[in-house]
Amino acid sequence: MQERIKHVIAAVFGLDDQTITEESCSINTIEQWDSLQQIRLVLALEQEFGIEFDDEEIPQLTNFSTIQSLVSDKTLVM
Amino acid sequence: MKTQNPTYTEMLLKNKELASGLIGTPYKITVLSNIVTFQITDILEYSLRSESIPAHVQCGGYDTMIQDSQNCQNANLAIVFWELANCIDGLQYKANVLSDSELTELREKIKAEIDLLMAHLNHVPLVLFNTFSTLIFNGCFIGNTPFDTLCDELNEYIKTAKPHNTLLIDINKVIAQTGINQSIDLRYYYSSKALYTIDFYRNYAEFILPAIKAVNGQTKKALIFDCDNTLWHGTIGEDGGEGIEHTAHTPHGVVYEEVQSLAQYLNRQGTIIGLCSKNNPDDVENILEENPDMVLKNRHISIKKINWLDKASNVLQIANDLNIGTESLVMIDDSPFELEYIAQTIPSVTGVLVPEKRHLYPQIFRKTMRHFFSHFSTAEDYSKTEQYAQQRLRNQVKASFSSLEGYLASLQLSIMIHEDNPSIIPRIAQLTQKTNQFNLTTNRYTENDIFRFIADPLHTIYTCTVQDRFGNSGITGLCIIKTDADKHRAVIDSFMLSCRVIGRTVEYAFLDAIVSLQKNHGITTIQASYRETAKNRQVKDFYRHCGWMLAEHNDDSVIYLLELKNYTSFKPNYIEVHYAGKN
Repeated sequence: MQERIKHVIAAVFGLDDQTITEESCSINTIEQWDSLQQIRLVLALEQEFGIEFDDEEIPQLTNFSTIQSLVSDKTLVM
Repeated sequence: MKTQNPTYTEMLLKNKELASGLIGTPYKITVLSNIVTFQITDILEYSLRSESIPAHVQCGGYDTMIQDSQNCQNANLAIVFWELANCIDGLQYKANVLSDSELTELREKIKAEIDLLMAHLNHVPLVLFNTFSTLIFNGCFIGNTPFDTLCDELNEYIKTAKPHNTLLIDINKVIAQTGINQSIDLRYYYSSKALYTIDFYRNYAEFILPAIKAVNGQTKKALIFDCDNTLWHGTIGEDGGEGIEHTAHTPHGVVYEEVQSLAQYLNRQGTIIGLCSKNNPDDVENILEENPDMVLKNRHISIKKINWLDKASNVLQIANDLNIGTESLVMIDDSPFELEYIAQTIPSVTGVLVPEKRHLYPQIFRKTMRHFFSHFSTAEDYSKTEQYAQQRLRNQVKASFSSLEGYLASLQLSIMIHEDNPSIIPRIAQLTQKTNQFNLTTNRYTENDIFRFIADPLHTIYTCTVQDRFGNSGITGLCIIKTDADKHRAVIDSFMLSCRVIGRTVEYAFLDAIVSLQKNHGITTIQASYRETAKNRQVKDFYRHCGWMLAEHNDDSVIYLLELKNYTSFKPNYIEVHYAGKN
C-alpha cells in the first residue's frame, strides 16, 4: 500500500517514485503541492483505492503518514 | 494506443511519457472558465496526445475568463467552461428568488459578457463553447424554475450570437453519458468551486475529440461495408435475394434498415460509402439495383470490391482507387477473422465489428459516426459520391489508352480560377483541413483564418475547379499567396489539390496560371516551399519539376525560388485555363 500511495503522489506532482519518502512528503516540502493541487491528489487516491474521503478528512491529507493511516482505515472497512 | 477507461493516475503517468515524444508544432489549447477546471489539463493532453496531436493545454485563472480571453492570441483552440451556477455566487438557488427586473438585469449582463468574450476570441481558429446547463442542480423537478428559464434564454442567445469560429458543445450530452452523480463532486464545489469529476473530464475529452481531429486533418473519409450480416441479415449466396432481411418489416432486418439509413445520412454529409465483400458480384448488384426496400442504393455507393480476393488487398485497392490514405478508411464487418486480418496487414485502417447481439448494432454504428465529424457540410460534399463515380468512368477510359498524354487530351480538361471568393470560405477551410497528399505545406486553416486572408490586401486566395467531359470536380485546387509590402516578391503559403483531381496534371496548369497572374501584377520573384509530412511525399519534387530553383534546405522544409523575368510557361497544352477574376 505504501508503494501505491507513493506512486500516486509522484504521478500527481510529476515526480519520480524514489523521491517520495515518508519523512519528506508533505504539503510543506513538495513545491507543487498547494490546496488546489491537493484536489487532484485526493481524486487520484480515491480512484486508486476505490474509497471516498469525508469533508472533514480532506484538509488533513497533507502529509504521507496521515494519508497512509486514512487510506488503510478506509480500505480495511471495505 | 489508449487504454480503455484508464485511471487518473494512469493518465497522468502516460501523459508524462507521451510529452517526451511529441512531434510537430504544438497545438495550443486554452481553457477559460468561471469555476476551477484545471484537472482537465492532463486528461485532455493525454486524450489528444494519444491520437498524435501534440497538445499543450493551459487553464486561465479562476473566474477571470473575460480578462484571460484577451490573451489567447497564440492559442489554436479555446474551450469555454461557463458555469451558469457561478455567474454570481450561488446563482443555482438565488435565481429562483430574484425579482423579474433583477433577473433581466443579470441576463443582459451575462449576454454582454458573452459578446465581449466572443469578440476577444475572434482571432482564435476554433472555439468550443459549452452550452449552459442546469441539469446537475435540477433534482428531477418537473417544472421549469427561473434558473432553468434563464439557462434556456442564454442558450438561445449563444446560438444566434456565436461567430463562425465557435462550435457549441452540448454539455448535457456529456453529463448524460457520465451520469449526473458521477459527473460532479459537490464537496469541492462548495469549498473550492471545482465542480466536475475525473470521469466527466475524461468523457468530455472524448466527446470533443472529433472536433479537434477534424481541424488537424484526421477526419475519416470513407466507410466500407461488408455485405452479408453487415448490410443485411443472411447470406445472399445461400439465402438468395428473397431470403435476406434488411427492412423494419422483418424481425432480423430492422437493425439493418436503421444502420443503412444512418449510413445514408453520413453519405449526405460527405462520407464516401463503399462495399468490400466476398460474394458473387451479380448477386450483390441485383439487390442494389432491383430491391426497392434497400435504403442504400447504387447512387450512394462510390466504390465496390465484390470478389473472392483477400479483403486486405481489396481495402488497399479501395484506398488507391479513391486516392485517399488507408488511415481515412473505416471497415465494418461481422467477421472478427477478416477484421483481424486487415488489422494485421494494414493497421492504419479502423475496423468496426458488427456485434453478435444485433440489437446493439445501431448504437455501435452511431459511435462509429463520430469518426466522420466535420465542421462543414458543404455543397461539395453532396456531389462527392457522383464525382467518385465519374472517377471510376475515367479509370475505365484510361485503361483503353496507351499513352497517358493521349488519355488526358481525350478528357477535354479545363480549369476555372477564382480569386478571393468569400462565398466559398467553408470549402476553402475544408480543403486546408482535409487535404493530406497533394499538399505542399499542410498549413491547416479555419474559416476564420480564411476570412482574414480574404480581407487582407497582401493575401490572395486562388481556387480552381476542374472540368472534363465526365463532369465538374467542384472546388478542388487551392493556393494561398502572400505578397510583400513592396509588391515585388510573393510567397506561396499553401498549394494543394484535392485527391479527386490528382493524376490529371491540372496542378501544372493551376500553378502556371498563378505565376502568370503574379507576373501581371509586377511581382519579380516568387518563393515557395515543401514541408514534408507522413503523407505528402508524392509532391516532394513538384516545384523542381516545374523548373523552380532550390534556394534553401532546412530541417523541416525545402525552399524554392522562381525569377519571373525568365519565366516560360509549362502549362500542358491539352488543358484550357479560364480566369473568373475576383469575386
